Amino acid sequence: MKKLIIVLLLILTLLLFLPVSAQEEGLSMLERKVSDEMIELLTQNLDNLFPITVKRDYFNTPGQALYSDNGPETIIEISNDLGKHNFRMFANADTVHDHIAFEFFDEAYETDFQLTMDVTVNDNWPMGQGGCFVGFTNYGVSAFADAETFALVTDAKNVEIYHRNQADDSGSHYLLETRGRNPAKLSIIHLTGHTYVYVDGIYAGQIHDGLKGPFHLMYGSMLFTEGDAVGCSFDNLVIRKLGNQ
Amino acid sequence: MSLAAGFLLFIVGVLLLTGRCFFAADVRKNCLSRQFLCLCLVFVIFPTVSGFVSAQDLDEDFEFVDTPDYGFSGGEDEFEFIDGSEFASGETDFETAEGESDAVSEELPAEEPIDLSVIPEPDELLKVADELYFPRVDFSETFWRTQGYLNEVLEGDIIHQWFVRSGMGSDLLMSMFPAERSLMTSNIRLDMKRDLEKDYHASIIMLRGEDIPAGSGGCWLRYTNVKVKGNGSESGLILFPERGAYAVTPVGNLEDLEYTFVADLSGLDLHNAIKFDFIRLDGVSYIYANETFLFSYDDGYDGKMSFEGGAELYEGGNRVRCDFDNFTMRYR
Repeated sequence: MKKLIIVLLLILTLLLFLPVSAQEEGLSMLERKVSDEMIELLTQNLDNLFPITVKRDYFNTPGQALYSDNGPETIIEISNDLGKHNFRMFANADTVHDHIAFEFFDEAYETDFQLTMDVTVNDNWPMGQGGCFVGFTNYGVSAFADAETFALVTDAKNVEIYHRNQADDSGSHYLLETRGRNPAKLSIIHLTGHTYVYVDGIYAGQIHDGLKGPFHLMYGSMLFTEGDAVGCSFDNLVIRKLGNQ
Repeated sequence: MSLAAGFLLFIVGVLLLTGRCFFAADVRKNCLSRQFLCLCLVFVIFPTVSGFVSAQDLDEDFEFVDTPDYGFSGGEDEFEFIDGSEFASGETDFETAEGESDAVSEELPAEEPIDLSVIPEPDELLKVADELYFPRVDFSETFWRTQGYLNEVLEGDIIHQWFVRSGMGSDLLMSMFPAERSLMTSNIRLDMKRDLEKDYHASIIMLRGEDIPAGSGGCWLRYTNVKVKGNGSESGLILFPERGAYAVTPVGNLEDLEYTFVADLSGLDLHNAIKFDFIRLDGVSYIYANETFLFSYDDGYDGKMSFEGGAELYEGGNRVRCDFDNFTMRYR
């Protein structure tokens, strides 16, 4: 009788563990994908999900720059020229550090928004060692650890989606399928913990970050560890948010 | 006239016309020519006429049936005609004299006072309800004015939208991933939770406009005393078309509500617009769908009720939209 009870208890404890392990198997959070049917519904309803335009900028007036991780041999030049907002960054590649020059908006936004920007990669040297991006970060605005997601356009006319999270030291990036144009109209949408990227009005990719916000919306130029120079132009910024009309 | 009869007449006619010529010798000469003329006429006219007439009778057995009288049908029609002389003389007396009717129409039944305390049978009730019990229209919302979007994200990452579009008010729930829990929402912008009287006739059209993928959700209507008792303590009746009607009663902890099955609604199909009528009289509610009586329910509450409706997203569903139209409220 005692043996039977022990065996039963063992079985019960095993059963308790099973549901937990079932949660951990399967896709990691970053890999969770929204179905194609729901993507189609989202695309059809973008206008009514984000009916409020929060900010619009045609960059006809000069703006200020923020610098990040700039060493003694890094030069960043930001200007408004010909109705575009331009970044030029020169760095002595040390094969160790990335260099980022970006701007973000002081206003902290909701967790659900749509950011659209026309992005032009003017030059990048060596090729593929940097690019121009739009995205969002909770750096400095959230009690949570730093996390950021952005869509990067390279001079090869590729668009990649990046996500980095300091909390679990996770990072992911992958290439999106696009028509490969430069300039490209990038639209990055964050909705209920999931990021969707549209390029030239066509859905290009998604990534799940599970983040709630609020976020700083940001854009700028980036050089990887081997990159020496990059030049970007930004235009026609539109930020819309989910809310009551 | 049949062909046989026509031919017979022709023979008789010929004999009459020509007979005299044969039997009156003195006028034979002229008569013959006259006879010839008559014969020609008869040979031409008579066949033509009889042929034309017989052509009308396609069926020799055809019998004429009296055409029905298209006047008023019914058993008690009696037409009383006014004597025109009354009007001509200008002495028309429009007061009804005893036993006479001024109207050129059927005789009206004698007016008896209607006993409102005796509620008609449910089928009859819907037809006479507005006239006898609910003459006051409190509001009638047809959603003709396009309103903007109300958007919010609810717990469980479920997007809730409420908007007025294409002449209908819509309540929409969408979850990008299959919903982790079921959720019911209401039409916040319209504020269907209006104060009501105890007795009312509410009418609304409801339809499930989107259900993606199929089986994602449904629509609901309910009346409760939530405005008086507050959320979690309300009681009333809720309808889930395609499923059932349930009595709503509070459970002590103010968190949950208890649903008790009242009637089966599996015969209703939300793919098509359904017109619901709720009549509440003396504490008993009568529920109709497309003007067909469904069931009655005694909610046992002696007070005012308010009305709500909206969409419900089932667990595992993605997107559901419920459309509402012609929301009318009549009071006693």
